[in-house]
Amino acid sequence: MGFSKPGSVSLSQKTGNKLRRKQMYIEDKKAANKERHEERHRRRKEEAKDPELRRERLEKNQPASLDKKRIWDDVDDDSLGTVVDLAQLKRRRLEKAEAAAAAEADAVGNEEVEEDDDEDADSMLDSDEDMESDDEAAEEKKEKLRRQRAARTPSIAPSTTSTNLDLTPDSLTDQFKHLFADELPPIPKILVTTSLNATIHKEAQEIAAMLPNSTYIRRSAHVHAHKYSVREIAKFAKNRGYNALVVVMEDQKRPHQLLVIHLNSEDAAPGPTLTYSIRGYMPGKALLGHGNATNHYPELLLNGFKTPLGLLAAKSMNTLFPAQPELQGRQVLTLHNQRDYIFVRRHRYVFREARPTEKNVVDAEGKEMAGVKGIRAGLQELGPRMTLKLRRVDKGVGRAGSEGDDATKWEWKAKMEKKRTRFNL
Amino acid sequence: MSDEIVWQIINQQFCAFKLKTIKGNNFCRNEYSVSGLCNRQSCPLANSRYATVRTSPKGTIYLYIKTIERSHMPSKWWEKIKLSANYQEALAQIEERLQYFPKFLLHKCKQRLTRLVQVATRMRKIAAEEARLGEKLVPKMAPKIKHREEARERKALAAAKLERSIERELLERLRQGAYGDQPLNCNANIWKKVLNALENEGEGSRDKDMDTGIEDEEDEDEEEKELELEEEDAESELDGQVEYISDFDESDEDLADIEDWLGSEEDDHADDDDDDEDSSEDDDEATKKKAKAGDKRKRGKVTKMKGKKRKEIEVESERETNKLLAF
Repeated sequence: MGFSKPGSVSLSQKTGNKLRRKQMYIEDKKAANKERHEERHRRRKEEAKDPELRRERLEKNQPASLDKKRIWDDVDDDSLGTVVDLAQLKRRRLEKAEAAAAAEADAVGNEEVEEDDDEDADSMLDSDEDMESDDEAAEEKKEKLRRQRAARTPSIAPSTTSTNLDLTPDSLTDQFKHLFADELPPIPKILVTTSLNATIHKEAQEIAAMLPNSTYIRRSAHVHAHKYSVREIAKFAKNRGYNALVVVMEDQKRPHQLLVIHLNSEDAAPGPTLTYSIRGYMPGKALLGHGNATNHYPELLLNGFKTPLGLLAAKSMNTLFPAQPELQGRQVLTLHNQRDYIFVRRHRYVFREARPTEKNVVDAEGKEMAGVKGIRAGLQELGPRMTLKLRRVDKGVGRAGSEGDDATKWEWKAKMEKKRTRFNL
Repeated sequence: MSDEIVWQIINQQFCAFKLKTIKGNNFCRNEYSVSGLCNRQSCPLANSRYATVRTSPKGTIYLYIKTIERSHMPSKWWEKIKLSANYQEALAQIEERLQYFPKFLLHKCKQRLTRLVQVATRMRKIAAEEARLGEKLVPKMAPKIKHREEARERKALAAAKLERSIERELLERLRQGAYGDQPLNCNANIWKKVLNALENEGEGSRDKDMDTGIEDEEDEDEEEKELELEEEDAESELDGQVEYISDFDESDEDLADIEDWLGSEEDDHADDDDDDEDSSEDDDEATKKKAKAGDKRKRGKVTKMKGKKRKEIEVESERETNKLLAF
C-alpha cells in the first residue's frame, strides 16, 4: 500500500475522469520504460568500450542475500551451542596473539633502552661486561620474537564452500574423543535399520546402498516376538564390530528421521547420536535422467559447515565413509549445508572439455578459476536425494541411552529460528 | 419403600443416567454403578444400601459403600475405603466389609476389583515396554513451524546452487592436485591441460633439477640422448611415471615411433627455429603415443599445434640460455 515504484504507479496529476486517467497512466508507464531502456542501452555501450566499468558496477551492486547478512554470536567461545564462524574465530585469535607478541617485543625493546641508561652510570669494566651480556640476551629475545612473527601460520584460505575439519576446537575434540580420534577404521562397518513396525524397507535399503560397507536388517515383525530396542541393537552391533548404527524412522510410510549412532571401539561407550529430520526424500528412479550407482567408494563433499556444531555433523558424516575413495568410480556424495538445511545428493561426474557455449567455472567470489579454463565437470545424478536438518545431539545412544547433566548436547528449538539471519550449522 | 418409588420414577419416567441402545439394552452412566447396566439391583440411586469399587486417577483402588443410615445426607452417602495393593488382601477386605450385604453386590464388587487390577497391571507392563524400547512417537511439528521450514528449505535450495557448487568444488580439487599425480578420474588430455594452464598462470613452476612435468622430462631425455647417442627404450622415457599399456598398441609401432623421433631429433637441435614444426610434430607423435598408452580407449591423433609450439619455444629458449651460461 505504501510502496510505489519510481514514476510508474502514482500519477503526477490527478483527474477524476477515468478515461483520461487511464491514458495518463499508460503515458507515464511508457515514459518510464523508455527512460530505463535508454539508460541501459547507454550503459551497455559504455561498458562495451571499457569493461572496467562493468566490473566495478557489478562489484558495487552485490545482491543482498541472506547468506551475506548472516549474523554470528559475538563471543570468544567455541563450545557446541555457540554460533561462531570457526575460521574467523581462529583468525581473530591469531591476530590477538600477534598483537600480544608485538606488544611484548616493544616492552622488551623499552627495557633494553632503560638498562643501557643504567649501565652508563657504572664503572667502565663492569658496565662493559654487563652491557655485552645484557645486550646479547636482549638481542636473542628480539630475534626470537622476530622469528616467531615471521613464522606465523599462513592466513586462512578465502571463502570456499568446502569444510576444513582442521578447524575443530579443542573443546569439541575433548568432548567427543572417539569421534575425533586420529586412528579411525579405514572402512567403517555400518548397520542400517528402521523404527519398529516400519514399512519403508525400500527406502532404508537405498540408504544402506548409499553408505558403503553397510547392511540393512529389518526389525522383528512378529507380534509376539521380543522387540529389541535401539539401545540393545547398538550393544549387539558393537559386539559384532560395527562402527555405526543408522536408524531410519518412519512416519506415515515415509522416512521421517535419521539417527546416526556412533559405536566406538571396545573400551568406550557408544558415542554421540545425531538426529536429523528427513524431508523431500526422492529415490533415484524418480529423478529425470538418473544413473545407476556402482559400489565404488564415493568421494565426499562437505560444503558449508562453519560452526562447532556444523563441524561435529560434518565429522560424523565423514566417519561413515571410507577414508580413501575409489576415484575410478567417479562418484561423489555431496552434503551441502545451506542455512541449516543439509542437502544430500549423489552424482557421477566426468571432467570434460567445455562446449563452445559454456562459460568457465567461477569461484565463490565471482572470479574465474585459474588453471581449469575450458574444463567443466559433467554431473549425472544417482540414487536418493533428500534434505536433512539436525535436530539433536545426544551423548549416548538416543535420548533414553544418555545419562548425566550433559545428556543432550544440543537440541533444536523453534525459538532459535526467530531471527532470519541466524543459523546454527 | 422410598427406594421403590425412586425406581418406579427412574425406570418408567426419566433417568438422566439411562442410555438406551438400538438393540434394546439399557446402560447406566452413573459413575458409582457397579455393573454398567440399568437394573433394579444395579441402580445406585434406587438402592440405599450399595457398594462399588473404583480407581482414583493415580491408580489406587477404593471401595465405596452407601448405607441406609446416611440416606438423608446425600453429601455423605459414599464411604471411601482404600483397598490393599495386594489382590488377595483386597479381596479379603471386600469380603470383610460387605459381609452383611446382598451377595449380588459382594460378587459384583469382587469382579470389578479383579478387572481393575488386571487393567492396571497391563498398563504398567505396556509403559515399561515403551520405556525399554525408547521409541517415543515424536509429536508433530506445529503447522506454523512446518510451513515456515518448508518455505525456508525451498529458498535455501535455490540459494545453494548445488550443481554449480559441486562442479566448482570438484574442479578446485582437480586443480589443487588432491587427486594425485596421475588422477584416475580424469582424462589424460584434460589433466595435461590443467597442468599446462597452471604452469602458464604461474601457479605451477617447473623444476629444472627434479622430475616433474611430463614435457620437461621428455626434453631432458632428448638432450641426454643427443649427448650420449644411445638408443633408449620406451620405458626410460617415461621415467618415474606409471605407464599404461593398452591392448591396442603394438610393439612395432612403438619402435617405429622412437626411431623416427631419434632420427629427426639430431636435426632438431641444430636449427631451433626452422625445425620447430618438426619438433612439434614429433612431440605430437610422442604425446599421441603417450595418449594412447594412457587412455582407456583409442583416440585419434589430437594436434594442438599452437600450444605445443609456444611451449617448445619456451623450453628451448631456456635451454639456450643454459647453454650460454655453461662455460
